[in-house]
Amino acid sequence: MKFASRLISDAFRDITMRLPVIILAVSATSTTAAVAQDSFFERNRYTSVAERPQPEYDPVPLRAGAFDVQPQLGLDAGYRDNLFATENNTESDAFVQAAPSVTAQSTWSRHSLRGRLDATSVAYAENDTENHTDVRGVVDGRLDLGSRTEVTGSLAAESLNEPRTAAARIANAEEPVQYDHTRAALGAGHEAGRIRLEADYTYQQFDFEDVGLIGGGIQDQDFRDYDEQELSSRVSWAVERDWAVFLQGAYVDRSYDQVTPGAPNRDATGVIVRTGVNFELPNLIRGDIGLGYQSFDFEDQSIEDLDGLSIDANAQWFVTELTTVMASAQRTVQDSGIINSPGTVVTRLAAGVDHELRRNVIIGGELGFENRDFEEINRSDDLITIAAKTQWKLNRNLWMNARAEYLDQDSGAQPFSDARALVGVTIFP
Amino acid sequence: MRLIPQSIKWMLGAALMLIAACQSAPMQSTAAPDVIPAASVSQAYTLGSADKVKVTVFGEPELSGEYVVDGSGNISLPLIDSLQVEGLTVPEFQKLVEQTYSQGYLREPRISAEVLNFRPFYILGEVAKPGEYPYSNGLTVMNAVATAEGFTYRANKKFVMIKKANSTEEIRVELTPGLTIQPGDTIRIVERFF
Repeated sequence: MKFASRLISDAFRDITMRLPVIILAVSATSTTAAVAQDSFFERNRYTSVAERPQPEYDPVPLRAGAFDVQPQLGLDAGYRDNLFATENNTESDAFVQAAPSVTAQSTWSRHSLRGRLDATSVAYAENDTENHTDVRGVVDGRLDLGSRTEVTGSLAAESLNEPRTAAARIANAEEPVQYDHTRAALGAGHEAGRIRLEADYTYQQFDFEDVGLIGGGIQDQDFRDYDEQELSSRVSWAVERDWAVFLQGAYVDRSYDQVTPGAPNRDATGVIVRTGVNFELPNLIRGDIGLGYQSFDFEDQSIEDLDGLSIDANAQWFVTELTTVMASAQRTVQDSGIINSPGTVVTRLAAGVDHELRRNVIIGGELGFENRDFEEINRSDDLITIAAKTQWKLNRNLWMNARAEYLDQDSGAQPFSDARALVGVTIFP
Repeated sequence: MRLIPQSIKWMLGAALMLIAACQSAPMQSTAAPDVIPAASVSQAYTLGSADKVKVTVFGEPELSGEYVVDGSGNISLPLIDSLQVEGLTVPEFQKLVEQTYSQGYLREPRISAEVLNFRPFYILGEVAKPGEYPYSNGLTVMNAVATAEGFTYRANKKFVMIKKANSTEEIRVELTPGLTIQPGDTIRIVERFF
């Protein structure tokens, strides 16, 4: 079971604050609804601030046959003081943002089907070349084969714009790099008493568009296109109803569409093994902590293997019923986006707190640290992010949001700092 | 309220005395009657508007019954004028009724009284089921909250706001396990912010 991790995203288009609590609750339960009430792996003793429904303020979805449909529209105005993430001669700008979305969730007693379509369109006051629109669509479903077995499937397609803070950013690109991301996943899970078995296959494809350069010319981005397949499995054993130990393994195959002459062949296969514990203890803590080892072997034998500690952990501490503290940590090997760097080891640490000041007022803070250590090139970026946020639910049809964020990256190649502010509303029919 | 001329009262009294002399079992016995125990009446409870009182007059079923204290604090009983009972304890009320009936209506009346329906209390704010609930003797704020099905997750459990029945202002009171309330009180459980 995975919990939503409140990692601070480079994409200031953080729509997770806009999601109605009901959608989050549905997503959280959709993977576990197949499990009977006496399951050793049910983790619903506590309710976090973000999960807690507030019937007086949560939007009422529209009923369309056997589906609940929730449309919404987010409208924001914001400001950034370093639009291009540069060290000097920073460019600040104000912007407006519109984020419509619609989610349809089945209401069947067994099985589940959910579809979501959303877009985020940003327009800047002075730098209109930075204007962009991201579009995302996802369909995921769960087939319950009895009370203890389920099959899951997911299809997602996104058309996104890479932020200027990305490591692979092109300084003199006349606009953000656009890319398409598609994802298909198939999974299965089965419980037998204290044992739970899970297996998943995921296929992803990334396709980057060439981008024009200021002053003329085109920067090729096809070298960044790649496919990735991951086959993973997890075996859990419930020692007690409150906690279970697990062993998890994954095989990753990353294949780039082209190999550029003179540049390393970045095709790689990786093996990840983790062991850990999944728990929801009486002392108000819930989490899933996995530690292990990962090893990525490159097609190009001249490239040293990337191996080391693998971490995938998250936890929630329910300090009081009004305050939830979250923490997460990941250490993974990812595509760097840089032609001379076959991969990057990404270490992310994040902590956050949500507090329910009133039933309809939530305040929170986030602190994040991300280190990107690039293979084969002498580059290591440390990014620190601090954010404060608030959400005021006026009624079922109108919420107000505000967020302030500060990013600071220490890097030999791309140091920058960026202060951002965003205020807006979310409208529900 | 029934007004009976003094002459009629004397005649009734004489008739009762005659009947009493003829009966082997006197209507008004000098022995202590079987008093109906008042299970939930507190010595400290005082009568007020909307209280429902059961009055039993020994040997006089026509005078016994259930009566309600009206909005001005008066109660109307057969044969006697409206009695002002606001603020009286139950024993005091019993004694007043006995004294009133003994003034020309009954000879050595034996009265027992019990409050059937206490004035309700009111509880609102951060409880699961705010509303009006019947009072019972010795009720504490914690009892009242339990009656309203408990605190909500946002309830402030350190202090409560109480408005007395005869007051127009709330007072803030530290919430302790022994904090008692009176009928007619309005208890407000406030919200906490942290």
